[in-house]
Amino acid sequence: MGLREVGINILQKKEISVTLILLATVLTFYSIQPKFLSPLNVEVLLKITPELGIVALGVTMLMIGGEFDLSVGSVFGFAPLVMSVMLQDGMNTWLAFLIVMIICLIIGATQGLITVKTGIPSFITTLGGMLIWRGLALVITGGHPMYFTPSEDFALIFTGKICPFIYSQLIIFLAILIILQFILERHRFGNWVYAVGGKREAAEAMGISAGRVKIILFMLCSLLAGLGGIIQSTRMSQAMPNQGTGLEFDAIAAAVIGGTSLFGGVGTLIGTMLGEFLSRVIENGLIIIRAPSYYFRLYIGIVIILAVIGNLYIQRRAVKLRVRE
Amino acid sequence: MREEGSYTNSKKVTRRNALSTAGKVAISAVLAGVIAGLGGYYAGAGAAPTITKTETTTKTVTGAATTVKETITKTLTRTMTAAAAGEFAKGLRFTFVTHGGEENVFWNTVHIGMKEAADVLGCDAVMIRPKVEGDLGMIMSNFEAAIAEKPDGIVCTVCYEAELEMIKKATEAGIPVIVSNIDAPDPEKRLEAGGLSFIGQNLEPAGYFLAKTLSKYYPKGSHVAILIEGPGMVWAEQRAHGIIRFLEEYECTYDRIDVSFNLAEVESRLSAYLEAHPPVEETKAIMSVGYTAPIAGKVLKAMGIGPGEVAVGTFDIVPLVIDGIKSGYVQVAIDQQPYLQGFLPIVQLTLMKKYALGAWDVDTGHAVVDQSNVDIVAELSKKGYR
Repeated sequence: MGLREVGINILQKKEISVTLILLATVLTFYSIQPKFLSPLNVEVLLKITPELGIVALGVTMLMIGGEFDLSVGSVFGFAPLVMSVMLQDGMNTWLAFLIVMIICLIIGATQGLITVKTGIPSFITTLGGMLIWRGLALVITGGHPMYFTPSEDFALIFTGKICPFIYSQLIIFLAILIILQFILERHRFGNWVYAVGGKREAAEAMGISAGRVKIILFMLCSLLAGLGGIIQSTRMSQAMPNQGTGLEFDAIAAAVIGGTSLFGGVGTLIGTMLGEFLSRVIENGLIIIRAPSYYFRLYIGIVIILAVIGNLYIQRRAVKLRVRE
Repeated sequence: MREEGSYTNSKKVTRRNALSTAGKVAISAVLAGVIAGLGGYYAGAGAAPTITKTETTTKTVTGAATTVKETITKTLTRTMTAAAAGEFAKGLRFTFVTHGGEENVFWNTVHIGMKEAADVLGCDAVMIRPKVEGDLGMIMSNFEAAIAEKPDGIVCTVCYEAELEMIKKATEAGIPVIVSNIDAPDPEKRLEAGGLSFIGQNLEPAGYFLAKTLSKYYPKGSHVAILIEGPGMVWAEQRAHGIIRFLEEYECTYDRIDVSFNLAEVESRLSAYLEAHPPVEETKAIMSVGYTAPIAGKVLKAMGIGPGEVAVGTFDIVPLVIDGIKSGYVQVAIDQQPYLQGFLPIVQLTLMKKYALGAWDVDTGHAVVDQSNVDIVAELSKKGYR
């Protein structure tokens, strides 16, 4: 394979656009304010990104499968609240965690079943879910924050500092990323996800149960949303009814910036990871350069449009180069 | 290798067209971004305070028969920018980390206070607000980034106890921290973490102050209704505690009415309550821990009760409260003065950095608004200062 061929292959990667934007953004912030890449700030970025990134991974898987989940922000808040109630009743931390994870799976399965069996768009089903789980969180707490006090070993495993720059949550995030990436690229199930999201009828004609694949993806999405929420609550020792508000749009934005299509069948988890880092870098960088925080939405909006157009343009260029060969 | 899809429908859009369209859209997006950015910049510049200085000199001209006084008025107007402003705190950078979301209008007044202090002193101050009101995850991330930027001082609210950890981290990094607007439920814990002072309304004394100030409008031993807009919430319970402390000293009886900030709900519950405990005959005063007591005016009017027959007292300056005072149904409102909660921390931090002075607590919550000053307060409220 020649150098030109390698270059064209790189240009054809969905992640190329977000990688370039991320690099440009980091360099811009660094040139304005070198403290942006100070050890302290890099550690901050590596600490806060994983819990939100985990949620975005689940959302990406579901989007590749051709569906949306708007309830992730609410499940992100609901799961730690339920666990907090169990912990305050004196339940063992690990048992409470296991039960909450099962509850998250049930939430995902319910939303998935309703979507698949009734044919209601997942946008509507999970919009309902978003209000229900947030509403329940408010009912449970009466609007008040709750203490979240898991056992020390649990806190160490999910949020402990392993060495400078590296916290447990980063390892968990990367481990989930690698496993899901392996499934997507190397496992039969990954093929099914792409097929179901791309052309559902064709996938079903090939004998794939599209409904079952989608329900599993809904379950995975809720599970990861709950896990992300529990990691955040563990880090802050508090569970709040408003936790994760608006997170669904952040997660979808990270996926889209990373090259995932809104129409299903296309997407990469590495791209989502980079998209999530890009969002956090912009948020953090604006504070470091002392810009008013109001600018975040403005920049993230521009980045979404540029990333998608960049993807389209770069890949078309790559195709053109290949055709010329 | 897996076949990946595309964002365009390849059957309908040719490559050339797609690229051309993509190019046009990209240029539009960048232009939109630049225009939006410039818009934001100029909006910011436009928000810089304009200071108008009026000089009046009087000349006496003596004529043959009469003395004419000629008054020459010179109006000097100059726009004060941060660069042209005072040099007192030049080079100092302060960061205000708050829980108040970007849409919360209360915090706009705090922000004006902070910016004007920075302009007058010649320092740099920025306020970091979460996208979602009170989102602890976001507040903590903002706080961490603010510490990493190493400003000369941080002002913050303590909406959640978890924030005490951040105060500690900032203090350990050598950054002085002042707390504004909301203090820790236990100020000792805030002091232990390193939070040097609290500038805001002391909630319990504020409740006591409201009940006491209003007491000239209701006799000793009255029955009083207290509207609690946030039952169980620290701020609401502390203000309620202060009100009740005074009522007990004043030998009054009272009932708590748990409501929310939903005005329709307040109206419905208060109407039902006043049916059971008739105004004037039994209920002599109505107070709220939030700003909803002016709704009592509407309810009392519907029951045929005139302004001033039942004493009504409330907190904070919002249009509802101003209208209530103007109508005569509300006698007293206590303002926590958010402008001061933005202005004073910057002054304190500047003095601490320049002259190594110690921080000091300020209770900003004793401003009374009533018939005597409601017009001027209403005017200042429109401009965002009250």
